[in-house]
Amino acid sequence: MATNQQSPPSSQFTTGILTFLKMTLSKFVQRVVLFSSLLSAVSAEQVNLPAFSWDTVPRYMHVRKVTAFTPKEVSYLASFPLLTFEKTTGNKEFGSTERGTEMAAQAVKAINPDTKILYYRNILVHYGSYAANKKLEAIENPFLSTKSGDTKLVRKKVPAYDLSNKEIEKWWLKNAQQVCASEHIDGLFVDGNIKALEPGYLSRQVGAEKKQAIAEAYHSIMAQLPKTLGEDKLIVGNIIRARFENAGLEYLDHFNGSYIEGFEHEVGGVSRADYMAKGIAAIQKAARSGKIVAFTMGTGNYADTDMDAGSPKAKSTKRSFQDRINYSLALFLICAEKHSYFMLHDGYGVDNGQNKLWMKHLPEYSKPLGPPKGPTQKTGYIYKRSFKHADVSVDLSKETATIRWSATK
Amino acid sequence: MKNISLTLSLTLLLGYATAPFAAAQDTPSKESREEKKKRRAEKKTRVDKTATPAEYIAVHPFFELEDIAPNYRSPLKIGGMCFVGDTIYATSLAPDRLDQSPDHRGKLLRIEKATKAGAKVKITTLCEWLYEPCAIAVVGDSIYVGEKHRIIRFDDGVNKDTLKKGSEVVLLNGTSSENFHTYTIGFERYKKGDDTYLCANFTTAIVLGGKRDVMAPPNPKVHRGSTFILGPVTGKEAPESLTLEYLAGGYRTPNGIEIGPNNDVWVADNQGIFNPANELIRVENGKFYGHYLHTEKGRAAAYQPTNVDSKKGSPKGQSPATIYLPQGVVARSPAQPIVIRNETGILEPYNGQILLCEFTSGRLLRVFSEQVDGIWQGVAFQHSGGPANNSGKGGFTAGPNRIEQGPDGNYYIGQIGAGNLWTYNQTNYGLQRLRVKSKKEAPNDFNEILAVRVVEGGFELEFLQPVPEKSISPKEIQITQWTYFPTSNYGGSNKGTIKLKPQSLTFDESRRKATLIVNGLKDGNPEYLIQDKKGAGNANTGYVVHVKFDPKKENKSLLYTKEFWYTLHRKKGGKEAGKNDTIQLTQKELAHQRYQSLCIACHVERDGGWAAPKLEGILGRKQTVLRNGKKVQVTVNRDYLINAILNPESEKTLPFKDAVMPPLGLSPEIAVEMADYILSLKKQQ
Repeated sequence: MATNQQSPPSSQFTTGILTFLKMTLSKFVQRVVLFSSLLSAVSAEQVNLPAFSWDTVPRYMHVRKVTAFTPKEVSYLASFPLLTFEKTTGNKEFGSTERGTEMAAQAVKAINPDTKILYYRNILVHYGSYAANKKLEAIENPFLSTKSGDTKLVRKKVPAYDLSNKEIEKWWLKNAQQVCASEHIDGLFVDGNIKALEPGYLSRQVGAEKKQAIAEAYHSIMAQLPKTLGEDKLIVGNIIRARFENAGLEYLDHFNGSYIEGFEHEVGGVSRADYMAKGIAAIQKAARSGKIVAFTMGTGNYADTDMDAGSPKAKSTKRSFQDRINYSLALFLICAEKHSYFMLHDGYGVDNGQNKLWMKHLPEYSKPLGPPKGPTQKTGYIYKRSFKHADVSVDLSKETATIRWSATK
Repeated sequence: MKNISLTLSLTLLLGYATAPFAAAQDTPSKESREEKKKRRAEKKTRVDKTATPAEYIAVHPFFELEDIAPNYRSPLKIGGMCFVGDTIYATSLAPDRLDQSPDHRGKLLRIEKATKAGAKVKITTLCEWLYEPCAIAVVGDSIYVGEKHRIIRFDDGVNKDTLKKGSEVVLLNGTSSENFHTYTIGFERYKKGDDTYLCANFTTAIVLGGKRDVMAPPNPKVHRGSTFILGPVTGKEAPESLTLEYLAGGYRTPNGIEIGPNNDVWVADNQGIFNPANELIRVENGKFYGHYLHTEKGRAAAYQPTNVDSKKGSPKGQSPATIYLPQGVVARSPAQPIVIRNETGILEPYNGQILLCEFTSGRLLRVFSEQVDGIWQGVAFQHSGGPANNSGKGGFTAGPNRIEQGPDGNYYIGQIGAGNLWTYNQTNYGLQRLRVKSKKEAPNDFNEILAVRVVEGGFELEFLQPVPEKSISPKEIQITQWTYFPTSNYGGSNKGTIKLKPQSLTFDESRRKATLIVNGLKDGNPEYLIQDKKGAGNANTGYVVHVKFDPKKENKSLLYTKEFWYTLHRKKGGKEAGKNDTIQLTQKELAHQRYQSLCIACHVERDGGWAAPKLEGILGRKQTVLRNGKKVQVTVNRDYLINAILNPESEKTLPFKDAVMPPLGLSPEIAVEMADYILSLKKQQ
């Protein structure tokens, strides 16, 4: 997630999918059994969910900054009910992402103990800046590799963990456990799930069989995670994506909720509107079931995911920034249930001061919203939903939206 | 709120009205006591000829009809029904057909032991404060009901004997404003992945007589005239977490809905404005089926084209109805369909076909459908008809409105009625079991046309059993073909009607299939589009082909169903008609067709008391009309009748002062022909 780099060509996915389809029945059954055993692995009732209110737009924050946050920034962060500190957070200031995250979390908690803070880990992609990386040196063959031994497989720049290596499994879980043990950290944000699960991803480089082993190991790790972290800890994954048959809902039992990105795409020959409609239905279903939804959308040219960047991300429509705000927020409001949170962003890294939305409080965030008044109405690609203080309409085919805020005293 | 009324069916229309004008002698008048007495006596004793629309239709020989609750008839005015085990949950209402007394005392009934033959059913009234409920479903232990103005849920309702007002959870409010013709029709269960949705139709608002209700207050919350799903439902979902999704729109009186084994949605719609005939539609998501709602003051139907004037409409903006059910001939008020499925006994050959309730004609229809070049089309047959005897057997107690298959494999038919227009057999209630006979009980020699399929140059007819040799020749087959012009006028007579001569009839070796080759068949392709001087045309309507096929042995008919109506949107190949391949209809035949499709829905043949004045023997009749607010007695003559046909709104015939006959859009020449035809009709004996 959160990168502008190129994705592998889609042909790789095709090859992988075909290979996947050839998977033997017994293996398939094995997976089904595994999935079944994971049902209810994570229960929303077991953790302390973030605060939630319909009073105004409920919001989520996802951020990374290599240096320490300023007091003003910390205060800003403390205003969110749910936030994730991304990889590299505090790395420069405190020597590692682990330590940087801990320090940032401590600062936020000092202002607002109720803010739920998640520690970011990628389940597949190896990123620097983690103190735990040093221990990898003691593990034999920690990364996936091609026949020629090349390990820089992700975007041809970054290694990917060989999750089928039991030592990697232990190492990854240990790191998650140690950081989340902090009283300031409320849980784990797991990224890279889709890369681990999508049969086509990296299958050309490592072979379909290996990729299948990675997927199976992934489920093994995720099954252990709640107990490893402690059942009072949140686990939020980047998992809902319309590219899956069931849009990722088939894997949602691993998590207390899903982070949402990158559903404005055209994947697998599906039209953009249909792809988005499928994603919306999945988000609605997840939200209705009580799962956390951390709904993010990027503005303008910000590419929020590399997995689907091979297809057009956004139509070259000449829309205003305000239109983008309306459209993004309206999409969220169509999907939102209790414990759904919204974030509009132009990148998660806030080191260079280029982010226009960092520390920006849009007027929409202050407007009274109120709870939804009744069912969402859907007519083709048009969605309508009314809240106590706002009527929302979205047209996926035209990629337009309106939010009519009612006058309030 | 005011009322509404039946949904149903009815088609209605034409309604009431009738009578306008200018009569030869105008004298103030009042119906005398003697006249009134005589009229009432006639009404009671008159034979209901429409009760047996086709002489040969009785209860299908594979079935037996029996009244399952003879002691409880009066509450059984079935608006919606569903099974939970062998218990039926049903809604009951008195439709407000005259838009005068909305029924706020609609009932929710639990009917136990419904499928136990011979057992005395137990009926519990769970509540009687519902507003014209016509939709019901049970999910988990909760009961869902669609009232006129809202959709509600009774939590744990199946475990309670009383459902108090205020205990209901409102899932969707404001589904209709005041109008006698707005109902929620359903529910059927629609699957989306592992989620269950309630599937139903919203009927439209009309005025008495059948016109669209342009003055109805807007219904800003929903698209009426549409099919929707509401869910996912679990029995305890939060209302604000539901999604109301529209599958399709463009219906008028969609008083029937069914979901087939492949999640295929079927909707039955009634004839009227923009609907030149009754329709059975295999719904395609996102499609609009032609009934435009005024957008001036109200909300359009789902998927109604925005580039078409909603007042005038246009068939160019509609998707084709799968199967037309010609008005007054095949149907008048189609209601709920049910897909026959998983049958293993004598009904096995019918799997995949549909049984369709026909409300005011008191019958069941059977439908076979197929896909040709990607378009669904098919054929309608008569199935069962006729009134029940005093024991509740041998026919229908009242108008078949709802049909469900019970856990015993039999079909259960909920019936209803209101007034003489929205009724059958002059009865307004009934619940009957359509029992499927065993192989032993069924007649061995029974035969009928099982299916009709389009083949190169014509049709393939499939029979249940072999048809004996020399029992029919091509010359004995009668074929008539026509199309429709959907317009903002009421209904629509047959257009482009022509009789066709069969070219050949060839049986296969088994003699269970025959190929009927016909030159001159037309379909929905552009080369067969026609239009009148006003620009009305048959875009997206295709053609209906009516075939009478009656093989005989020793002068005895061998088939139960001797005719069928195939809606041809796509044919395969075939030749154009040559000089000798067609027979033009006589003027009288054309007039009769118009009469059937435009008049008899409301000018009920059996009685003029409620719908609109009867037309048989109308010449010289004295009628009281309301003209410029004053009662005037007129004597009907030819000029009066022509004027009434051309200007139906200029006067109102009493006692139907609230009814409005919709415009028929006929030219003066056609109006004269119609008047002459009507005048030729003899008084019913």
